[in-house]
Amino acid sequence: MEFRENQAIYLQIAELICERILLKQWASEDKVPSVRELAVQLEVNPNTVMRTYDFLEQKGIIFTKRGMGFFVSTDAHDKVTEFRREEFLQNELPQFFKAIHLLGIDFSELQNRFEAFKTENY
Amino acid sequence: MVSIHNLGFGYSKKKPVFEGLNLELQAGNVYGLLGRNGAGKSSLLRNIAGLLTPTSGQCTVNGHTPHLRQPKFLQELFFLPEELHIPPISMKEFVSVYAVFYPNFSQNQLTEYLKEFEVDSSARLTELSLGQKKKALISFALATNTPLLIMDEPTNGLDIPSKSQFRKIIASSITNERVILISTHQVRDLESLIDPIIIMDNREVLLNAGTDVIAEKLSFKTVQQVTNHEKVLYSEHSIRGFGIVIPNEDESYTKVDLELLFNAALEKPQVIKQLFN
Amino acid sequence: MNQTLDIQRLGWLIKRIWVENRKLFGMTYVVMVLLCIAAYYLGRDAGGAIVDRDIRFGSLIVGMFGLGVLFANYIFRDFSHTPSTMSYLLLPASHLEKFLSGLFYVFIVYPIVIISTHSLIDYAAFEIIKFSYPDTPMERTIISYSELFETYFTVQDTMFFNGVTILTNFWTFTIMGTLFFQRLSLIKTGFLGFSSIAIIALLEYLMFHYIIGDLNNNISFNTEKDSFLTVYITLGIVLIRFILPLFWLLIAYLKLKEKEV
Repeated sequence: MEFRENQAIYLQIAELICERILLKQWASEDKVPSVRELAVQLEVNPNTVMRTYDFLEQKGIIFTKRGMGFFVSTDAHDKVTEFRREEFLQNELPQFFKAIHLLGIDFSELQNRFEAFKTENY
Repeated sequence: MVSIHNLGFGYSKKKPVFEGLNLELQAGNVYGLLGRNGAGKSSLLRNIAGLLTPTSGQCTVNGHTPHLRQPKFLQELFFLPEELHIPPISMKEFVSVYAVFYPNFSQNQLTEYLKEFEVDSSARLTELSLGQKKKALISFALATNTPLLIMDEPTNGLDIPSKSQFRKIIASSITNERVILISTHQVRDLESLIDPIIIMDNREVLLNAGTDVIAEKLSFKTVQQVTNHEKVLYSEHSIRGFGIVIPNEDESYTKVDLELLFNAALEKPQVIKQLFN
Repeated sequence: MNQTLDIQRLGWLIKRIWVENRKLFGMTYVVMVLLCIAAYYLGRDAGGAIVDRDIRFGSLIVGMFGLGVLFANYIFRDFSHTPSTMSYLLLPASHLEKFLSGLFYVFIVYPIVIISTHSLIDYAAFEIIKFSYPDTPMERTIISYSELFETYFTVQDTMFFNGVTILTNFWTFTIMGTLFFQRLSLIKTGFLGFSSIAIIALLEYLMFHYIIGDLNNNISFNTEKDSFLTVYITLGIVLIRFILPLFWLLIAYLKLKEKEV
């Protein structure tokens, strides 16, 4: 996995997991790969993955079963959506606004493009 | 597991390599030791391994005094130097000779690592390429399951796929009972693997901290212009602007850029020391 | 677990030397046997009825002295090359075990192999010549091996046992030198060894010359000085034959223990 430079690795891994949950690759109650498995897959320090799991557990996206490892929460999908929405509105949207303001892009043009994008991709 | 207090060492009395050095290594971690050429990284590793005797202070590994080199200590250590000693035998013969000395050696692990690294274990070791030799010995080193594993520049001589295999293997072999200490110049190779980071310079340890602690205290950013100069610890010009290191003030965690961190530590050693001690 | 001497670990170390070097040992052995046979073949005299005594004796001396020193250096070279020194020093076994595993090859395996091989070749040569020339003046053996033990411990001066004395000193000195020098250990050891012999010889000459006087004129006439000389020579022989090799070994062992890379 290539990591971007502007965000801590453990958060980027969290994002990756969230994406898999949103894409329904991992359904609720599914077992999440063990810390070691994911660390090997991503070639990162297992402690970093552990931090990611702790973080996701705090957010209620995954939970532990004693002695069995981590599992995707029942309401993980909603939690992830909520978490991502918040993150997007807080971090990514301001960047986006800045860009369209600087480049003088009109909202109506965005609207058209967004509709086209939706029909093309989904 | 490794505990160093006030360690002094020098090849001659007038020119100490380090003085009053302190360092604690906890089990369950892959430590990355960074330092410029001649900063004393190899000397430190050799002091920990018992190949050199400290001139002052103490160094203990799991309660053992390394430089006595007693078998009970040596069983708990594997040291992979930068320049390897390769006997003219096959990997199978090598294992038949050396594995018995390590009580926790695992043949299954070795087979797995050799397979992952794609090393031919029936060929003579001396006839393998440098990278293959290195991979064979790294596999053996990991399979000995010694509590302390020291590797000096392990990724030197490895090709790009091997470096990726190396990261996978290290990630899979770290356990809560084990310390892996890697000294390296190739920070890019191991950036997401080594944690905590130890930076040595000018005869002392400037920093020994986990990346979470580092990210809590410092931010690593790329900016178009360097504005608040007095706060910026370090900046360097790159294609995309300036890579800067500044104290973290907005509680957002950026990815720790080891090259920037290392350069910042060399440029402002006192600031870095104060921040992390 | 014994931290100083464990027989099982010593066994592993002995196996290590064998596994890592067996091919080289095997090839070297074949070459040595062929050279020895060639020397016997070329050293025949009087129409082939006898092998020259110097060849018979000399081939053994060369095998033991010259090659023995090379062998001692080779066995301990693990300690005179930085990467191998590191890996060998950190192998989980005690210093004493590592030292003894080397000595085992130099002082037990090597002499047994050389003497038995040489005796065999010598015996075969004798039988072959005896078969072709029934009245050959060739002696059956050059050395009476049965007297070896007895004579060695009676401090008698015979050529052969002086040889053994020189030999043990050369070997132990080589081992010591190999442990001290990190590169080109054999050359440096040789230089050190021969220069110390030269210095000792010079000192001895000066001592005899100035303290005891001119050897040829005085010794046989003066009983007092004569007994002094006997004591001196006996002490010297004991020293050189027994104490000195042990001293070299002790120094070598201490160096191994304190070795740093």
